[in-house]
Amino acid sequence: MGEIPDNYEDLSDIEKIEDVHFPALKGGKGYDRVSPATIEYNCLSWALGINWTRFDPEPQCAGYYWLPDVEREWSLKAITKTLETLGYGICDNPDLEDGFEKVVIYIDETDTPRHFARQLPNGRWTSKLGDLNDIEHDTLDCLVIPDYGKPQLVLKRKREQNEGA
Amino acid sequence: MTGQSIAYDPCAERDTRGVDWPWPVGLHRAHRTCIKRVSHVRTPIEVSPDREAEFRALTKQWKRETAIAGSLSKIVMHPAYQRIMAMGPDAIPLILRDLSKEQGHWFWALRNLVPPGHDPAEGTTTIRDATHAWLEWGKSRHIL
Repeated sequence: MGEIPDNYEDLSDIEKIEDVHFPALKGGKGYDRVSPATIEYNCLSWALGINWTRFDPEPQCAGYYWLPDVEREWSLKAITKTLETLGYGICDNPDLEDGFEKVVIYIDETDTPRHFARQLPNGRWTSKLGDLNDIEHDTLDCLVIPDYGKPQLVLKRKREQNEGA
Repeated sequence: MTGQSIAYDPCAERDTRGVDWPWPVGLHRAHRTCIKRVSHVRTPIEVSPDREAEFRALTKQWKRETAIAGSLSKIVMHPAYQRIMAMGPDAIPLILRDLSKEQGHWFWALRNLVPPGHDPAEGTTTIRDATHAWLEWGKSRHIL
């Protein structure tokens, strides 16, 4: 993350994304914003195709959701279990594969999952950027920042038949 | 103390056993020292302008520095958020006022600033529903 300017609250969503948080997106390069900023869902729920709640295990708190049978911790193990419960299995690459939807987990230096991106049928990726917008982006690397870590684990499941690009 | 008088007394809802509530589920032991319990407050809360300014500054810092965080644990562990929780019941009307203006991850703080078992949003699974529950709670107690 770059230095946060004193006038951060006055910046537009685009300026926050490009000038402050994700320098690789500067100038609108390789991405499009596709929603207004909201806190009603997070990067994990968005990667799972859900925009009605936030998947958040801890601390256990009103307003957030977690699968009942999965350990309540924001760990790679628990989050992988969450995805497996929802039909995903680990795979070895993020390449576009006909009939499959892939989710990539960004992991930081402490082995903690920090971000998730979901592959669209057209090969682009979609990501919810914290409490800011969700975006479509061409590459996974454009969101590599210290706060998010790097894309390191890929899971996939069969894509719904009627899902468009 | 001069300042805006807020007609909310947490004691009215408090378990009279008072001081040592069960530690909230999901909060790490390391957080313990950061939170001031509201067990000793006996008068309606007044929030001084200085206190309100402190709250605003902490809120601003917290929101900007967690804007791209995806996990609630990271969001509520932010030092500024912990300092707001440590303000105790003074923070309740300030938080509710902020929540009435824009959505925010305030439910963990609010839950821990009221007595156990009095979280009006308990059981909700969306930000929208939890926000509604807390704002209605605030209105019903004339905090908002």
